[in-house]
Amino acid sequence: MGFLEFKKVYKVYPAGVKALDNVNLSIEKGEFVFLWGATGAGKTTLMKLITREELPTSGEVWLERCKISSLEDRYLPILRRNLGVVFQDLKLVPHWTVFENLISPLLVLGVKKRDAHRLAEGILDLVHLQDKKHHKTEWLSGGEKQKLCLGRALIHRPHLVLADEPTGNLDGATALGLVGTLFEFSERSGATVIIATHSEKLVNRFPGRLVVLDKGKIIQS
Amino acid sequence: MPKSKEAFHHRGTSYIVMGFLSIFITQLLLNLFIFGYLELEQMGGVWQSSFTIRAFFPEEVSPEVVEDVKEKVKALPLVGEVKLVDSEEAKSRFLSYFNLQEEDLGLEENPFPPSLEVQAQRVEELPFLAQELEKIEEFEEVFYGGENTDALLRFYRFFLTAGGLLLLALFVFSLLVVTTVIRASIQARETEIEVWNLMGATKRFIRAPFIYQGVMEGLSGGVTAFVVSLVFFHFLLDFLNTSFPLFFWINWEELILPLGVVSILMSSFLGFLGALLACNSIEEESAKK
Repeated sequence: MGFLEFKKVYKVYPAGVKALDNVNLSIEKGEFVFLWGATGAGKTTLMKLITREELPTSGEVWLERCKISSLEDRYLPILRRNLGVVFQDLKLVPHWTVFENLISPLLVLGVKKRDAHRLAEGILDLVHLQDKKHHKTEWLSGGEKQKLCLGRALIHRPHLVLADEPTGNLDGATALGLVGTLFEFSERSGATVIIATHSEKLVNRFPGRLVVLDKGKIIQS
Repeated sequence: MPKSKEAFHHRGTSYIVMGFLSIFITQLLLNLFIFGYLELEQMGGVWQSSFTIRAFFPEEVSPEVVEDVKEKVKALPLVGEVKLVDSEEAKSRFLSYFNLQEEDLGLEENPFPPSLEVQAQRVEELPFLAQELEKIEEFEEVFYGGENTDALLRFYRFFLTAGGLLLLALFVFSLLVVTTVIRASIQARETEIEVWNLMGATKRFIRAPFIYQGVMEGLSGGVTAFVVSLVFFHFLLDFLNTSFPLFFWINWEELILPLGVVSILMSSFLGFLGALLACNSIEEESAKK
């Protein structure tokens, strides 16, 4: 069994929209994966099944031999603490500072103050936000917010990083830099990274596995 | 780094003020009630003789029967203290009360029957205790107080019932306000709560700051009410002691401990309970969605 497995997964939303149609997918530990497809192909739904923001209509989702599709709600915090997620809509708290947003996963993990500061300094350097550390998040530009979201996803060194359209509003160079950071992180730490994107440029620039989704079906993996 | 209780920054000031004020007012009224209760207790202590039941034996009763009955009365659940007044003591009290000598009575035998002086554990239980004593056959006559005592007892009962009901209503009202305030506070922080959930925060972690907020609001309301009450009662008792010096007023110092303990415990409990109810109701609503 792979590190992450989707077995005969269907997802139909209440309005009758079929988001995923018999998805079977296996991803190994340490893989760098692009989930490519047009808008509405089912990329975000697939990501949400991993974070357990959504449940499959039928089928199974397994992560590290744990059937997360039937995980009890009380165990969700344990699952989510081990994920690093760059959300499509960022999920940053606008009135918190960059630093406060950045360390939120560490706070949940109960990391000591000194260690949290050290880790935060390192990540701020990595995402080039050192000079914005005490700025309110709402004052940041779109690109800076994306970087902050990336930093927050990596600060606790998760084994699995999910990035849902992380370069959505970014210019070419910034987008490449951001995905480059994810690639480097995967190479160094051995973490599995899954990037959902509709950008062909990005897919062609980085070596990695390509999984193509079309109308909820995997047509290439 | 902020701790769990600081996980939700920038809480709305208006919400906090509302929660604080509701607890402050409830606690202030509770303190007034405590003052009234302690004052009544003080009066009860001073008028102890009016609150003593006298149960008379027949003249010819034997000392053994008197002792037996005394033990029987002591064992009754409502009884506080029991004192035996024998025939000699009764006679000597009579002589002393009317400032007479024994010769003035001109009696060969002591006509005063022995009696028991019985006090209830709580003043308001006096009539029930008297009824219990009347059931004992060995007593010839049982009586206590009189119209004034009855009137005072009626007032005492009224004060306890009305005050208790008023306090209960205030407690429920205050609880509703605190719950609503914390609920609003939680709803205003939906974004933060969603982020914490996605970061893997536990239910306890997310609840902690709101429980902390409730307890702190309660505590600050209670402590402020305590200080304001003490200052108010200081001036009130000063005024009462000067204006009605013959009345039995409680000492200001005697108020500090009961008011302090009740203010701190009651208000923080109120804040805690309100916050807990708010968290539970929000969680139930989200589960239904």
